[in-house]
Amino acid sequence: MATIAQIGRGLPARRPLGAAAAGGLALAGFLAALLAINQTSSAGTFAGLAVFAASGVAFLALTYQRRPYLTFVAPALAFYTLFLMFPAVEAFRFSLFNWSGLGEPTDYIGFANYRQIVGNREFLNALWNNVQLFLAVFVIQNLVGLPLALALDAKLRFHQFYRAALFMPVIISLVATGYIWQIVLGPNIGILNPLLAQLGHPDWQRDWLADRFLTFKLVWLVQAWQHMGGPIVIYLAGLQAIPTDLRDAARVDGASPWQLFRSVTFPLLAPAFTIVTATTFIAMFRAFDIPFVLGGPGGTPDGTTDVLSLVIYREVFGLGGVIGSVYRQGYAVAAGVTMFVALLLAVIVPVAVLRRREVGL
Amino acid sequence: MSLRVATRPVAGGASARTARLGRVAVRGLLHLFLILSVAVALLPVLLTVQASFKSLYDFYDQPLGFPTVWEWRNYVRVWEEARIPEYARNSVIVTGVSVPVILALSCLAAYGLTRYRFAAARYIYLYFLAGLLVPVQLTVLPTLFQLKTLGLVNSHAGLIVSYVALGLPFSVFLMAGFLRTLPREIAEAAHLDGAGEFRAFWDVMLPLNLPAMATVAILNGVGIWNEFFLALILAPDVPTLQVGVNNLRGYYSTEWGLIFAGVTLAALPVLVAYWLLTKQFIRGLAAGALKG
Repeated sequence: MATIAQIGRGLPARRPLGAAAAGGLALAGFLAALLAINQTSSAGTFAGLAVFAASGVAFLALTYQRRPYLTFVAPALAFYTLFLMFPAVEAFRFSLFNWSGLGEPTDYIGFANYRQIVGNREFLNALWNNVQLFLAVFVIQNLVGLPLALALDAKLRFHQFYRAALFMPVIISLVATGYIWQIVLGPNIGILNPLLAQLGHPDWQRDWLADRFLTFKLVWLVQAWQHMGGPIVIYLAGLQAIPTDLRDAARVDGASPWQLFRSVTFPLLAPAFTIVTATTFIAMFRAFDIPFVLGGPGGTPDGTTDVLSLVIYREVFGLGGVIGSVYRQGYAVAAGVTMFVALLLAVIVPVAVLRRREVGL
Repeated sequence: MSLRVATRPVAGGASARTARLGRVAVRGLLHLFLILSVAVALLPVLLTVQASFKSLYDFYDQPLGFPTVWEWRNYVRVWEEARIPEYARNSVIVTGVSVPVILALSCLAAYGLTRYRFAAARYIYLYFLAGLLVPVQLTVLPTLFQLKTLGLVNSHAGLIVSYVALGLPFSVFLMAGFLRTLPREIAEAAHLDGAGEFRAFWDVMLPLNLPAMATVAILNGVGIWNEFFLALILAPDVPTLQVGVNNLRGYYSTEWGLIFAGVTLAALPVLVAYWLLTKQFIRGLAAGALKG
């Protein structure tokens, strides 16, 4: 950075030809590197990246005086394009092939993978489970999370501790979450089963993680347990943004607590409600960790805990989590692309609707 | 405050006392509600820590109670036998390099996009935002091939570049949002005072940008420390703590005390940082909740 600035300052302000040449060379080097990655040629990739780096620095130095923003933006842009957007585009290309994941995809089949997804029972079952998961967490966080935010907003003694404790599940990792719920729900070392026995209800004991009816309900609850911290804090921030005089005025006018909530607080909370609902929607349709931890990659028992990201995981890695066996990678990636596009559409529309019923201050 | 009992103007001592009593009752109920919820949030975590001190015998004999003997040796054994120091080293390297790189790249980019007016700024910003919607399950396979070509599979560097790329979109989004709230005149004034473009950024805007940088650092730091999926697939031979602790199940099939000692050790740095910097963590991670 500083070096580019120094070089740039020493050069004449306008060098349009040199800049164009260096820029063109940099772009060519970058594209060559992408092409070489695509052809799994290591030498080509490194050569392309070297050309890109050298001519890129020259280009930025030549344009620094007139367009300093290029130097600021370019490093992140190049990195992001190379290591995130390019793989995403590659993923889309893979989805057009009948491909097991070994070697280069050669069997081009167009959109056949996508046609196979529509109407596939496994896919639809997982999709329906995602819908249920979203609805359940949505209900729980508005029936429990919103009241918790209201209670925290009352500024009782210890409210800082309450808030910190309620938020804590958010920082627990996937691996720890898995072990934690195994110890609570597990049939061998469990906490819940011995507790039920001690409470005098040994007949209530279950194999909680292998119950066709109950296991997915537990996925809802555990998902809500881990997800709730975000919504509580966002609702709390929304509540604190409501000017106190509005609520005081309603109170002076004799509004009951319920009327106050229904007619003043809740409408003004609409922006927070929109954010919480939209983020929950995205999170629950991308959910992977909790279903994986409680039901395993197969969505056991009997696919009752299966979700979309697990379907993709199975197609890529199989049940054993080993890469390179004969799996339908092309199909898996097509499922991923479908999920991505569906999410995109599904998020834009509801947010537009919810935004409209928000009350401006 | 909306749950507080409405305080209508009241006359007479009796009804005032009733109102006060009602307020105390409501406050008590709120405390009860909060305490119960806190118990649900914390209990599973506390049970894990408690389990990490249990001997194998206690696990089956005392599933609910405290350990009869506090087995500190669980920690000593898991530390010595299970290569925990090696996993910890990998986690520290990967997180410790990724976060500063994310900070540097996203800071520069956000500054360039918000400080200068140029036609492409809007499109570049939207291009960064598009990365927020790309699911990891989608890109993991092409990324694996790409890292193979670059010779970066099973290396710290391979994990680092993947984490940096994944962390950039949201970090740029957060920092650009923050920098936009600062008056543009500040940097322009510094520029007029003779500071070069880079000096204006480094000496004037960077210190003002510190709150956003703290948020970005915490969000990415916790996310990368806890990340499991990519670490498992892109670098299984350079196991981070999460991968290593996950593998404990294979080493100690039923020695749950040792496994939970490992789980506790892996979570400890994040937990300690959380209790030290609770406010910053909640602010940072709640911002991350927007990412979904």
